Order: sequence, then C-alpha cells, then structure tokens
Amino acid sequence: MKHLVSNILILFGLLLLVVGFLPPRATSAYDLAAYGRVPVQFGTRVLPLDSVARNTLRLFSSGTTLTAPSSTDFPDGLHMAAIQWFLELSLRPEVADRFPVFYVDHDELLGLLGEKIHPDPLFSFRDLQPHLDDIAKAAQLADDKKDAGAALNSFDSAVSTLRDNLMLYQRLCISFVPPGGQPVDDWKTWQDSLQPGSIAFTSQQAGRPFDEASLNAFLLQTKRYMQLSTAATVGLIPPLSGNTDTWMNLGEGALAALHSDHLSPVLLDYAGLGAALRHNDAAAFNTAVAALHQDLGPAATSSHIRFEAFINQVEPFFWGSLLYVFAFFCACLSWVTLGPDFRRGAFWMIVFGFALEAFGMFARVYLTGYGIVINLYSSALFVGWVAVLFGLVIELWKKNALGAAMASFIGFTTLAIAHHIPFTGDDLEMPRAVLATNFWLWTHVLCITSGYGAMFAAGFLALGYIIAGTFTARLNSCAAREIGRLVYGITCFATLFSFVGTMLGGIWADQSWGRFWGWDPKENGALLIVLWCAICLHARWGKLCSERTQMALAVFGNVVTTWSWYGTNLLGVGLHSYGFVQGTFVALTAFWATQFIFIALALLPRRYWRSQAALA
Amino acid sequence: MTTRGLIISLAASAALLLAACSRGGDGDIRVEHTPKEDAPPPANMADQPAVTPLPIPASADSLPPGHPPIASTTPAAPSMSGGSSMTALPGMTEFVAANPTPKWSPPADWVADPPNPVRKGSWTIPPASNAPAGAQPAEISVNVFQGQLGGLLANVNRWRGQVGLDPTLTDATLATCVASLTIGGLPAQLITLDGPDGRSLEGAFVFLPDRVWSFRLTGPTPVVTAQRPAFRAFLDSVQWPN
Amino acid sequence: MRLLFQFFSSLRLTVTLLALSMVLILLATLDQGQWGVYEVQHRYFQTLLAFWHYPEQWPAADIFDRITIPLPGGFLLGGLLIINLLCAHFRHYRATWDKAGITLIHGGLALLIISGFATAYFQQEYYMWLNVGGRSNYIQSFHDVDLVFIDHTDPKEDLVVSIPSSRLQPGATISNPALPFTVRTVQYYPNSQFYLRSQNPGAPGLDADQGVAKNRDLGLSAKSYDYINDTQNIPSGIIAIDAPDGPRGQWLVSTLLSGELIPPFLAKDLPQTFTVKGHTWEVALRPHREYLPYYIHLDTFIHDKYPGTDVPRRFESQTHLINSATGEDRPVLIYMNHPLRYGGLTFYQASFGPNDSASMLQVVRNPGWLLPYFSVAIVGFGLALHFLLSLVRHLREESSPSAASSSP
Repeated sequence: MKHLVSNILILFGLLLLVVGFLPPRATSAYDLAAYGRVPVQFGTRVLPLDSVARNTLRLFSSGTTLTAPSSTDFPDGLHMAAIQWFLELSLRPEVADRFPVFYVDHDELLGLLGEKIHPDPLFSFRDLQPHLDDIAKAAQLADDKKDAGAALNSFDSAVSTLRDNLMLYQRLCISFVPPGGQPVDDWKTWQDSLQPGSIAFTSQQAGRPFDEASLNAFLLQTKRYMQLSTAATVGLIPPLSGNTDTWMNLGEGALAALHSDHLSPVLLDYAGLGAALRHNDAAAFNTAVAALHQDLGPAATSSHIRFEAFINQVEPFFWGSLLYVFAFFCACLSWVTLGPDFRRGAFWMIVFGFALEAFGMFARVYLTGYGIVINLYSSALFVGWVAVLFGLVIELWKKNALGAAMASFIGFTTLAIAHHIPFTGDDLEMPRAVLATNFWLWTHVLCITSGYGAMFAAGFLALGYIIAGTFTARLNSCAAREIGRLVYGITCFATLFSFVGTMLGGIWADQSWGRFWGWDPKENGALLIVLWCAICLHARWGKLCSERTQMALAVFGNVVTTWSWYGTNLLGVGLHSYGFVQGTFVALTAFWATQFIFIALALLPRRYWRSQAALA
Repeated sequence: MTTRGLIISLAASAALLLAACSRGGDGDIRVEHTPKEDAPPPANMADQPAVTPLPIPASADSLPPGHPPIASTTPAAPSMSGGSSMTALPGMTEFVAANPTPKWSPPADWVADPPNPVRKGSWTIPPASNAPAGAQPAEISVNVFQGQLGGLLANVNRWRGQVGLDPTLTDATLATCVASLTIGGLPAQLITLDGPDGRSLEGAFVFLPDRVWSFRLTGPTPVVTAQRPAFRAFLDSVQWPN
Repeated sequence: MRLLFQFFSSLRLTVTLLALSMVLILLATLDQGQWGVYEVQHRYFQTLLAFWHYPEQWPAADIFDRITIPLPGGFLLGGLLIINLLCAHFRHYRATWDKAGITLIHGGLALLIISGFATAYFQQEYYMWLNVGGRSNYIQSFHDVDLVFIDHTDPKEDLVVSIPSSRLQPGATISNPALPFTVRTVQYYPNSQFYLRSQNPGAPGLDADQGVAKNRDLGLSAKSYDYINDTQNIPSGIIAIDAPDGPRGQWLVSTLLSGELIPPFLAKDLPQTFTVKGHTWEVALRPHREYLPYYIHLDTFIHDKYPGTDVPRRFESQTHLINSATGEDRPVLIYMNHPLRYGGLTFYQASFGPNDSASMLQVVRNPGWLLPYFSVAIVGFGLALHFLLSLVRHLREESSPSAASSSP
C-alpha cells in the first residue's frame, strides 16, 4: 500500500493531538473533577481550584503532579494529581503535611536543613518544620540586604523563595476550613454564639446588664475570625452585589455573619467536605461538592471556569511539544530514507502541533481577556508559533523537509523555554496597570514578538545551510541559492515586523512616560535587531559579501535577538528593569557560544566545506 | 539636482549638529516674581521624591519586550494571626512566656507545682492516704504549642499510646473518644481515654490558627475517673486574656 | 568633490555606520549598569565622541581597566547617517513613481533621526509632586539644582532669584542687580552626607556659623555621586554672604534642608533667613523649578489593586486645572496611557507617595514630540506603498516570460 509509513505516522500524530481532549479516567471515588471546578479568587483573578492546585504545586515543587519514590511514609511511592494533593492541603492539612512537595536543591540551603544533595530533593512540611526558624532568620537577612540595595546571592534567593512558599503553604492550610479538624462543629459554635453574643454586646455598650460569659465567648471568637480574615489568602465567597468584585475569605465570611445573621452556605459546604474526607465518606463528599457548586451561584457555572479546568486537563502545550519532537526526528530521518513518507509524516505532525499551540494560545486570550502576548511566558509561545508558521509555509512550498526541520526544532525549543521560565505563580495572571491595554498588546507586542520569530526562522534556516554545507556534500549551488533566497525573504519580514514594532513601542512609551525613545536597555535591544536586519539587507542588496557570509550574518541574528529578548533583562537597569536570573545568563552564553561556532564554520575557507565541490 | 540636494542635506545636517552640540549653556541667573507659596505640605512624603517612573519595584520577568516594571506576584503576606509561626520566637520557653496565662479556678485539692518555664499550668494530685503503696500521683498540665502540632488525630493517638491503648485511630473512628465543647468560648475538643492497664486520661485541645492549647489530666484510672467532673469544671472556668 | 560625494553615498559606508551604531548601543547598554540611563545618554548618545572603559565591576578589572575604546558618539553617527542617507538617495534613485515608496521610507527615516536631534536639543523633563488635597504651580528638575534667594517682603508675591548650581564653583563670587549682596561659594558637593560630630569624634565641623550651622554638632562631608540612583543624591554647599554694610556670615545650604527631607532637630533653624536693607531674604538649595501660570490641584489619587493582592491594576489622579489668567477651572483625569497636554507641557502619571497620600506627575516639554509620529506615519506609508508596488511589479513579471529581477 502506498504511503503506509506516512499514514501510520500521521495517525500517530493524530492520536497525540486528540489524546489530551479525552476525558480522564476517574481514579478515585471522590469527585475530584468537580472539586477542581470550584471557583475561588486567588492571586489576581477568579480561577478554578484545579488551577490553584497546579500553580501551587508547581511553585513549590516545580512539577504539576506529585511524584515521589517509595519512602517510609509511603512505601509504594506517590503519584498524585495536583488536585488530589490540594484536596488534602485545603481540607486535611495535617495529612498534607506529610507529602513531599517542597523542592530544595540549593546545596547551602540543603545544608541548613541538615541534608546533602540527593537526586530527589523533595521535602514535606513536616520535614521542614524543625527548621522553620532558621529559614526565617536567613530569609530575614536576605530581606534586609534587599532593602539596603545590596545584591542577593543565590542562597539568599533560594531561602527567600522557600520562606515565601512555606508562608503561602501555611496560609492555604487555614484558608478553606477553620483550623482544628472539626470545621462543622466550629461553624456551629460560631453560629450559636452570634445572637446571644450580639445581644450581650449591645447591652454592654448601652450600659445595661449583660451576660458576661456570652460576651466573652463572642469576643474571643470574633478575634479568632478576625485573625483568620487577615491570614487567609483565598477568596471563597463570591460577592453578592455588583458593587465589588472582591470575594470574601473564610474569616471575612464568618465576620459577615455578624451583620446578616446567617453564615454563608459556602463555608458550611467546605466544612462538610472536610468532614466527609475525614470520615472517608466519598458519597457524602460528592454530595457536598454538588451543594457547593449550587451555593456558589453563577460564579460556579461560568464558562470561563469550566473552560479553564478543561484546558488544564488538555495540556495543549505538552502534547504540542511532543508532536514537534517526533516531527523533528521524522524530518531528519527523511533526509536519509527514500520516499516522501517521513517528510509527510513530519509535516502533518507539525500541523497538529501548530493547531494545538494555536488552540492553547487563543484559550489564554479567552481566559484572560487580553492579547496573545502579555508576559514573558506567552512571548515564548508566540515567537515559536510564528517561526513554526514560517516553516510550514516553506515546507508546503519547497517540500524538502527543511522547513519542517526548522519549524519543529524551534517549536519544541520555544515550548521548552516557556515551560522553564521562572514560574511566578500563575501563567494566566492579569497584566499590570500600564500593560492592561489591549490596543498596544495586540499591536506593538505582537509585532515585536513576530519579529523575534521571523529572526529565529531565518537564523535556523541559515544554520541548516551551514550544517549541510560543512558536514555533507549535498548542498549544491541550486539548493544553496534557494535557501539563501528564503533566508533573505524571511529577513525582510523580520525587518518589517521589528521596525514597525519598535516604532509602535516608541509611541506607546510617549503616551505613557512622555518620551518616544529613552535609550534604555530593552529599547536599545529592539533597535539592535532593526539595525542588524538593515545591515543584512543592505549587505545583500549591495552584494557586499558572499552568500555564505550572508548566512553567517543571519545566524548572528539569533545572537542579537536572544540578547534583545532575554539578555537585556539581566542588566536590571532603567524603566524596563527586571530581576536578574543567573541560570538564564549561563544558558544564554552557552547558546551564543554554539552560534559563534556555526558562524566560524560559515566563514571557513571554502575548501574545508564538504559541499565545496557541489557548490562550485 | 544631485549637487544641490547634497548641499542642502549637508547644510541642514550641519545646522542640526551644531545646534544639538551647543545646547547646555544654562548658567543664567533667573529673577522671577512668583505667587506666595502654600503652607508646606504635611510630612507625608518620607523620602525625597522617589523618581521611579512607575512606582513598582522590579520583579522576575513576566513581561513582553519593552515594558515597565511590575510588582512582585506573591501576595504580600502580612504576618499570620498573632505572629507567623515562621517568624515567631525561637525557643519553646520564650514562646510559652509570650502567651499570657488564662484566668481559671482550679479545684482546691489540686496542688500547684512550682512555676515551670515550659508549662502554663501544672498541678499534682498526690496519692490518697488510703491508696496502695507505689501509687502514682495524678497530674494536670496546661500547655501551649506553636503551630498545629500535627493535628488532632495525631495527638489523640499519641495520648492513646501514653495510656497503653493502640495509637491506631483514624479520622473515621476518632469520634469514639472525642467530643466537642467550648473552653472560654473557643471551640475545643475533649478527649476521654481509659487504658487497659490502669492509666487514664482526660484532656482537651483548643486549636488556634497558629498555636494549640492543651489541657491534660493523667493518672491512675480511679483517680482520673473521680476527678473528671472537677476537671470539666476547671475547663469551664477558663477565661482567655484579651 | 565627486570623490567626496561617492564616499558619502556608498552602501559600504551605510553598513559601516550601522555596525558602528550597534557597537555604540551595545557598549552604552552595558555601561548603564554602572552609570545609569541618564548619564549614559550624555556620555554616549548626546556627544560627538564617546569613550568606553572596562567597567570596574567586571572580572579581572585590575588587569583590564586600562582598556579604553574610543567610539563615534550618537551625534556624529546620526549626522553621518543622515548625510549618507540623503546622498545615497539622490545618487541611486531617480524621482520616478515606482521608487516612490523608497523615497518615503528614506525620508521618514531621515525625519526620525532629525527628531532624535530635536529631542536631544529641546526636550526637558520635570516632575511635580501633589499631595492629595494640595496644589502646585511649579515643576521641578530631576537633576538640576538652584541656589535660591527669596524676598518675602511684598505681601502679594515673592521675589525669587535662582542661581544654577553650575555657578557654585569654590571661590567664585556671584552678584546680580536683583541682589543687594554678593554670594561667594566656599564649598559645593554634588552629593554629600551629614553626620553628628558627637558620634564621629575627630571629624571636622562645618565651615559655617549661621542658621542651621549654629548647631555645632553638625558635620558635612562629600560623597561620591550616585549615578544609578541619580535622583537620590543630596547636593550641599557652604556659601558666604557679603552685604555692603557687612558680612552676613557663612551658611550651610542643602537639598536635605528643603522640602520633605528636613530632619526634625534642624527644623527649628529653618527657613534660613537674613536681613539686608530692611528686606528679609531666605536662602535655600533646592531642585531647579519652573513656575507655571496655572495650578494643578489634586482632588484624589486612586490606586486600584487586584483584589486580595498588592498587584496594581490602575493608577489615576483626579485633578483640577486652575488658570486664573484664562479663567479655567476644570476637572482633569491623568492616568496610565492618558496624559494631560496643556500649555506646551505634557503631564504623565508617574509615581505616588506612601499610603496613596500623594501623586507624582512626570512633566515633559518637547515641542518636537509630534516629529516621531510623522516619521512613523511616513515610513509606514512608504513601506506599504513599496510593498504594493513590488507586488504589482512581481505579478506583472510572473505573467510575462522574462526572468525576474533580483533588486529589492
């Protein structure tokens, strides 16, 4: 049968495309999916508990599932979804304390904990509890350093992060049910004390005789819930009126009962969930979750919440990157096999990956209400997507797996980079004040990131030229000219996008800060890209250098683009200053080193190229 | 055309260059008549105008190319109720000392022990005159601990172990020896345990967001059984300081 | 002449100038780490010649610190680029319709570079602090400092004589018809720090004996200028005032003694005043001010955060613009991406004071602010036109059998 191999590959790709969309198997009697769909207000927005669970687990442990090898506490090892762990954290914190969720791999910090470096540095809250004071003291020193304007070393950052994570953990523990393990009883006690307490209070204020015991009980509980209202960090109860969009946490909800004389059923539902969990009663749990959904009203049925939980489950970027990886191997294999099978397979896998990535990006647009690119994470996604688009167009046109190889390589690497950008707690977080303007997000930002994508597309095609020319004998003058023209064409696009984007950025800066151009590092970086594009184009127009040198120039474009995108962040200067990330500096330098090697290869005398005969 | 164009361009550029370079002569003394100034502002602004164009300190990158700095993401964490257990006092003694002792009315037959730095309250009930030789005294202690101490279940099991019972309760079976009550108005859990070898315990926990109070009566079973009502009365008499 | 023209219109020169620009920008950006954005702008971009020194903070600085790279500065490169652009355009392109797009693009780019020069020449930036419920009719400079003498005698208005700090050279004497006395600079420090002599035994006292300097416990020393946090420098000086009927002594002046920074134990000796010919003069060192013919009054400052967090969602200053000359008294909202443009100045929401009790506006004067907009529009139009014309030409050539050309 013709094209059997390619059809198998395409089917495999299709499988990877749809597998994320299949409903997951229910692994537990508890309706975790329903619990995951419960909306709360946390961070900058309203989101489902499933997202809170994944984000928090990722913040603590750098992963979205809890996996641990077998240990004394867990002889069979651990493999839990984030929502399962979060279930315990929110409703049975003393159980959650035993789960190893804190990832600590800094050797000095491990030393503080009395541990050595080992391959699986995950610690539970219980493990860290004896060291809380030491962590707090070291983190306080780091805070003092920061206030004094001194630079922080890696230990300072690591211990501050751990301290912040531990504080967040403790606050989450008391944010859903009152501490003590008897939430249902606690709420009943509160409700019962409300009326006698307020009567006693008003009598005391009016100077009349009052019941001291009731008053004391009432005041003490009020104090307890006031403390909880400042410590709790999750908004559980949606606003009743349209005047505000602030949700109440459990302390505030308890105190609100003072005015309304009844305690929000949402709080009672959470308590019921906690009790059901403690009694191992899955049926009661599931009923309580359904009741919670009902009591949350329209907030729970919002399509945004359901869609976000759905997207969490689909994980489009994960399956997309898998597709790109397989596509890359197929594209490379297509150069050593006969027939178009692997190339066709690669092409379709990239198409599926591209579709998944597009779905993921537009899902983000729907969920946040803002543009495609609103932070560094989404910029990485979009840059890759643009480069993949260029690669697909080239592949459709030239049909020689070159476009496919470039697209899948860049697609995979940008998704990997996006995943490894230091996680700040919520990839979908709302943009900050001056960024929350859709017009500029859709124009300036998209232009600049498209420019980056185009630069990488051209640069990696040029890399292909150099590799083929140096290491193989297959780069004949026809193919070389073709690649050269492709690189030139994409560079023209890059010039256009980068220039327009930079100009739009200037206009935005003028509207925001009063000056079109301030010569700060980010602006300088963007200008460097435009200037480099101009140099590449003028060099070609004026025939100032050979085609091989032009390819070297295109590869240098990769260096300039990564400097502009990431390198300028390292300086910590000016209006665009960001935090210094040491790991990024090492990765950048390593990348630049590889690019300079390729540039050197391109500039070798022609006789050293294996394709020199073919090119003659 | 070419030459004319060239001359015009060169002239224009030269003019601009000269103009731009010559800027900077601003050493002139100015004399002005200005309206009277308003009364000086109240000392609200502690520092010299902090002229960051946007007032927010830098954060780890989460921005697209070309944007102003942003604030830190982690919600600013005010210290947890009554002092975060993270930054609370280093030692047990200091922690205990920092918690004011509640008011209470212990029964007359409890003998107060000398002040103990790690206990809030400590009494002994010596063996009765007609008790068998070698009889142990009964003890009442009141303690306060940082954090949640591992939770109710873990502590009940720990106490069970102390009186010789199996420390194997689960959440489902916890209710067999735990009842709810209030102490000084705060919700509390009362634990009643009778061991197989003559030891008994009656105790209570009050769980607060960042600390736990425990009240415990232990001793030989007959003594504990007889003292249970008095112990309950003692718990009812507890008044928390404000 | 012809050779010169060929040189200035060559493509090689363009590429060389662009490459040199990239080197300048890169080295300038790296230097911003130690000199800050403002200073680097002067050293690298608003100059004909720039010098890059191996930074002290880099590794092996003691070996490499003698490395100095001279570079053409921003003005020189910008000027040469304009010349090159115009020459090359006139040499290579005839004024035909199918080159119209390119003409517009080049014209727009030239205009952009010109706008850069215009900004360097004309643009001035200031700030204005407003307390909630308060008002202001002046804007202050970020970097320039004036020694001011104020005569409060007239009940209706003040007479303010401002002497720029560049005149305060040690030993120099300043006189002006408006001042019935002369001013001699004893000492001037662009950045300084104060100390208490009781806590620093052996440290010298002030070379002044009037006003705040009557406090013998006070000492002053120079401090190295902070380029990175350049708005936190505290300039101070010692000046001697000599009236025709006798000296008025030596005075300590400092930005620490004006505005909001006054340490409480010195407040009792402020403002520093002396009398000459029946007029009482106040002396102070303060940021350079420009007085406006109108007031801006801050009614409220709104600082919205995302609920439950400290993340800012929006900033807004609700103000009233009060101009007694024109009779205007209208409410004005100033918020992110929405400045107030009035009287040749543009007011932007920039910062705020603690507890949202005050708002800071950044004020910019740049008569050429529209130039970049024009240039962007012209280039944009030129790009679109060029693309359209190229497309039409390409399609025409596709349909005819002749080979396609390779020019852009």
